[in-house]
Amino acid sequence: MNEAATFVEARGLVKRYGGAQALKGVDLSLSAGEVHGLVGENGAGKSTLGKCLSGVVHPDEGEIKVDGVAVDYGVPRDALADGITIVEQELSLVPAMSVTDNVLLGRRGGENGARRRGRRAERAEVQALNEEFSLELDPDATVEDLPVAEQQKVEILRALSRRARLIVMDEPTARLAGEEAENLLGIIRLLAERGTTIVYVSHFLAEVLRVCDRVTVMRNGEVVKAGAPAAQESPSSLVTAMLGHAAALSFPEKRPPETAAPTVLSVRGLRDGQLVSGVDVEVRAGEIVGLGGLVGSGRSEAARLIFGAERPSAGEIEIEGRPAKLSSVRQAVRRGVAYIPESRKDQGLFLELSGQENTTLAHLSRVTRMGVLSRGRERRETATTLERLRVTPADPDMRVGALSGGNQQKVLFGKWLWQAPRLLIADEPTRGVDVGAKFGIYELLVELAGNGMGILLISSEIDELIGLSHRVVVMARGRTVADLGGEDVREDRVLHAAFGSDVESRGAGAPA
Amino acid sequence: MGADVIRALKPRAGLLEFAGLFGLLVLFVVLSLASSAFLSKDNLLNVLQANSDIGIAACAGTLVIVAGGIDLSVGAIYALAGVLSAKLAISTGVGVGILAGVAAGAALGLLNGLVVTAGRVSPLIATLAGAIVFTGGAEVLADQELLTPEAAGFVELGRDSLLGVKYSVWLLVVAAIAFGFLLSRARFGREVRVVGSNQEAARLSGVNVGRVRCLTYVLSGLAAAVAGVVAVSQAGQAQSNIGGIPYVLAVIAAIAVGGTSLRGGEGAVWRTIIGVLFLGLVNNGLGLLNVDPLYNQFFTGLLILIAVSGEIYVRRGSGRIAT
Amino acid sequence: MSTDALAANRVGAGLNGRALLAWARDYGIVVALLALCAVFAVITDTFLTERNLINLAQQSAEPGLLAAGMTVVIIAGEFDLSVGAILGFAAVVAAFVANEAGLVLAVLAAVAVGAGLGLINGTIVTRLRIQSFLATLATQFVIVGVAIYLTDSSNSFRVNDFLGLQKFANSELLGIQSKAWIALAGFVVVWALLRATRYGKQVYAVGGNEAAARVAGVRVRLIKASVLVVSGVMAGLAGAIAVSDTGVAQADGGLGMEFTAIAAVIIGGTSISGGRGSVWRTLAGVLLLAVVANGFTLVDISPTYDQLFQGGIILTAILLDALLKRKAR
Repeated sequence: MNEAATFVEARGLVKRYGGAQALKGVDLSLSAGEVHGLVGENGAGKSTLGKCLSGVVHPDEGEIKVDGVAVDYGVPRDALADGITIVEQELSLVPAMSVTDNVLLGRRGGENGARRRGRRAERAEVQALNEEFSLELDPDATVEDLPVAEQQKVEILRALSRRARLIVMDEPTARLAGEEAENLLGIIRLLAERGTTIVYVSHFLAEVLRVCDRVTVMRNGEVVKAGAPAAQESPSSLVTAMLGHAAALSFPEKRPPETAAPTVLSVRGLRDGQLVSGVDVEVRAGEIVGLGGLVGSGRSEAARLIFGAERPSAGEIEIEGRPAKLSSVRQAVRRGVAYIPESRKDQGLFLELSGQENTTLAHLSRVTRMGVLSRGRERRETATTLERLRVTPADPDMRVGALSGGNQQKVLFGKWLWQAPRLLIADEPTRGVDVGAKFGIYELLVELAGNGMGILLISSEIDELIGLSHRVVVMARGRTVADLGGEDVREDRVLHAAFGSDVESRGAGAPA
Repeated sequence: MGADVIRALKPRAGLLEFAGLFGLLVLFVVLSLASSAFLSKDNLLNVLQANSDIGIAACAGTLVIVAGGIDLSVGAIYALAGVLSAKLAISTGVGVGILAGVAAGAALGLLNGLVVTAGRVSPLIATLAGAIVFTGGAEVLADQELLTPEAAGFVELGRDSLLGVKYSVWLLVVAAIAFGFLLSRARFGREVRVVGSNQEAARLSGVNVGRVRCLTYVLSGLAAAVAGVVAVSQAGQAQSNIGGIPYVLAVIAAIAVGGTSLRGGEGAVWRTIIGVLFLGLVNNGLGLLNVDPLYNQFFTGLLILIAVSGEIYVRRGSGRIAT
Repeated sequence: MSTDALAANRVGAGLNGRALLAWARDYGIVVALLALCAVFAVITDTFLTERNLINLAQQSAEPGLLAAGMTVVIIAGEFDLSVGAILGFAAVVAAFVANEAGLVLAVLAAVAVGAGLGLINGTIVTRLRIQSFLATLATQFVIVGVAIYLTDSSNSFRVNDFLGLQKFANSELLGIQSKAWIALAGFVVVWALLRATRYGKQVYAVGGNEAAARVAGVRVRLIKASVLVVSGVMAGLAGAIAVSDTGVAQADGGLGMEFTAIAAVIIGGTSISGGRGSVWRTLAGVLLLAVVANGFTLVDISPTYDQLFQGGIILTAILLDALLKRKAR
């Protein structure tokens, strides 16, 4: 990469949210046409930095210079005018509109101003860009009908149609399967070659090092390693910088379940008439069974079916040897099944409510007497649970939305562990959790299994899946295709089963 | 991070939460100074009594809104229950009339609830349609007549007093306490809050979302019916156009002015009472100051805007909602 | 819905059954409308007469204009409960101006007033950040109050030169009074606004995903305020028609029509959550409501049962629509 002039320069950026400082005086320097990685634990400030650059958020102090000129972006629109845009984790698309309309949304200028240029001209323009960057999108498709990976491409296409010179990408591969992620990385390199600068914010360190020219590491709102050449770094050197100390990404020792352990969960022939077309799974007490597979293989759907959150069209589920009534969450909970959903914000927690209200919800009868809640008892039980899980701060009254991602996940765990379940279904339990808290969750899972709980684990990180599971059941296209145990719990075996052939890839269980 | 973060993020139970109460007190003081007739026992009881029908439905309506729904049919249920009770009081007996009216309210509320939960229709549309249908029902029952159950003695409920305070006011007190307790202390109230806060998460936590929502509509219908029956009893007459749209708007205004967000997930019955009192005092004040009653609406609307924007401003300051 | 299921839906999507249901969802309202017309044509011999149908169209003018404006508001994800009040206010202003300055200025004044009030609504919603449902509920009260004040508390205002003013609403073109044509023009203008302009796309975007629209650079606040101006303009125009029709302006004459307008939009099939829908649907909704009311009058069922039956039909339409939506998912 050539020595290009500095394109964007940020100095002394400070951003406060209430009493907390997300950025404590951050400097960043970007050259044209470079891919610049931004890594750090949750709460390190990388997302906030990206948002400051793209005008989504306004810094309280500090200055940003674009092409040597100081800028002050009050709204994203202003940054857009300078060719700076962001593709966030939460996709910003209008579901009911077409790809073309979404791509051209909000565009100013053009000869006619108010009048649209006519569908054909618009479609042609979008198609041209589509082909130029090999995105393979259908300009007429309605966005809500597209899978996430395609939707993300629509956002990128939109950035390109604005002749973006800087695109901030926040966790772009978080929801992509192996091939799709590879595709995206290829597009990013292509963009960089054409002179577009990319700021690549991601948790996936190996990927960051592969696609980026330089990497900046942040910790606690400060830059601890600025623009280090990617060639000179490794995942562990980045982790060291992030944590301030060396941390081995290891897993707690697996302790096999008792030989005479009873079967906690038995699923046969589960199908839902749509994606899931034949799932068989067994989990014994004290066992951690991983559910592996690619995006679209139906793992989350199967989990929801087992929990009774969706109605199956066929199949039998037995919990502790007795048949379970399907499609009833209440029944499942009563029988001792717990479910930690994929998206804690949407499906698991009530961010506006307190820790107490969140924790006791699944078993309110325990703190209810004659229809009335015993608040005192609730507080005590919650405090105990939160402390046991080392939630900081362990305050039952605190609004859960104010906690960090890792602590929120712990509250979610607390909710389901409060009344020890027989079977815990955990869908992406460490998503959005920083490295330090992750290991804590690993230890927790292993400890729970050690105490006799059966665990069904879905995870996008293959290392995690293999590191924790005693057995791995692999799904492909809606049905279980492999049941791996013992020696076979290996990355290549899992991937082989997930793909159905020998393919080297990034990860089998990419997030759904 | 640390202590300052914790303090910043804890829900502010401080002064700001009580801004509504503060506003009410200010209004009280202003009116006391502006009119000599204001601060009399008779006048204040009058205010309570005049707004008791709105208040009763607003207390129950708070639960509907906190659960994330809305009930636009309370005006129609009010009318239908009132007409039904009057008709039956004349033909059969006062007791039968009262019971039938109230039961009808609960039944219609149940209908609303089923359309919303089992029918998966948005509450706005469902209760709007319900309002049209129930009003139609009231018209059919009234059959173009002005019913006068006064002759049949159907006025005790509306006109008699206990300890110097009219029954309707006592009913309001009972409603406020009962629904308030339900929302803040009962298990049902907790379920109402979580359903309004995040319906899907509530479902995945084992809460019977359908039943909770349905029940809120039953309670709302019940309360509206009680209000209608009492109103008819007090007036001694009933016709199909009582209650109606003005009633619905007054109930919703009271809830909103009180500080409960129409989005759901948070709110309290005591706040609604403040809203009812606030709007009631405004009306009362305007009357005492000899403002032409035609302009009541104008001032009410203006004050709703002021009160709600004030609350939003306050909530933004305490960090509860996004700026 | 997770991407796994989405992908599966695309791959294994059924053909005929699902397509039929989708068609029913999209055009069910038209079918219902035609069916109702057929029923009434059979039951009575007066329904399908030219006189009656023309009458129908004319009576739908005012509610139609309100509903057209409401469509834009609802697609943007907002509500306007003040349109009935604006209608009355505009009528009063129009009457006043007509007495002083004649027909043309009266109509212009009404429209300008409608726009102005809509702008006030828009400012309250975007600057004070009050939800449109609540804000317009409050402004409804305020606007009626001021309108009453303007009529010197008499609540109505008489026009001096009725015959002159009447030309606005009652001139005939092809046998149909101008108010119906004006309403039709209103629908066409709204249609063009939504479908053929960049502005229209932005309205759909704001209603579909406000955050996305904002990030894309759409001036969300401007759009929200502007849709309320649009509905205000429509209501102002309707007010001009109202006073031109009867010669008397009633300050509270439009109250209640806002809910009819919302009902028409919803029955037509425009989604209450915003981001989808179209104005021709609303036209179908308006006509459906008019046909129902008209049909019942003709069938001469005792007026007591009017509302009940109308409500019943609306409720059925809504439930059917919800049912079809569920099956099609």
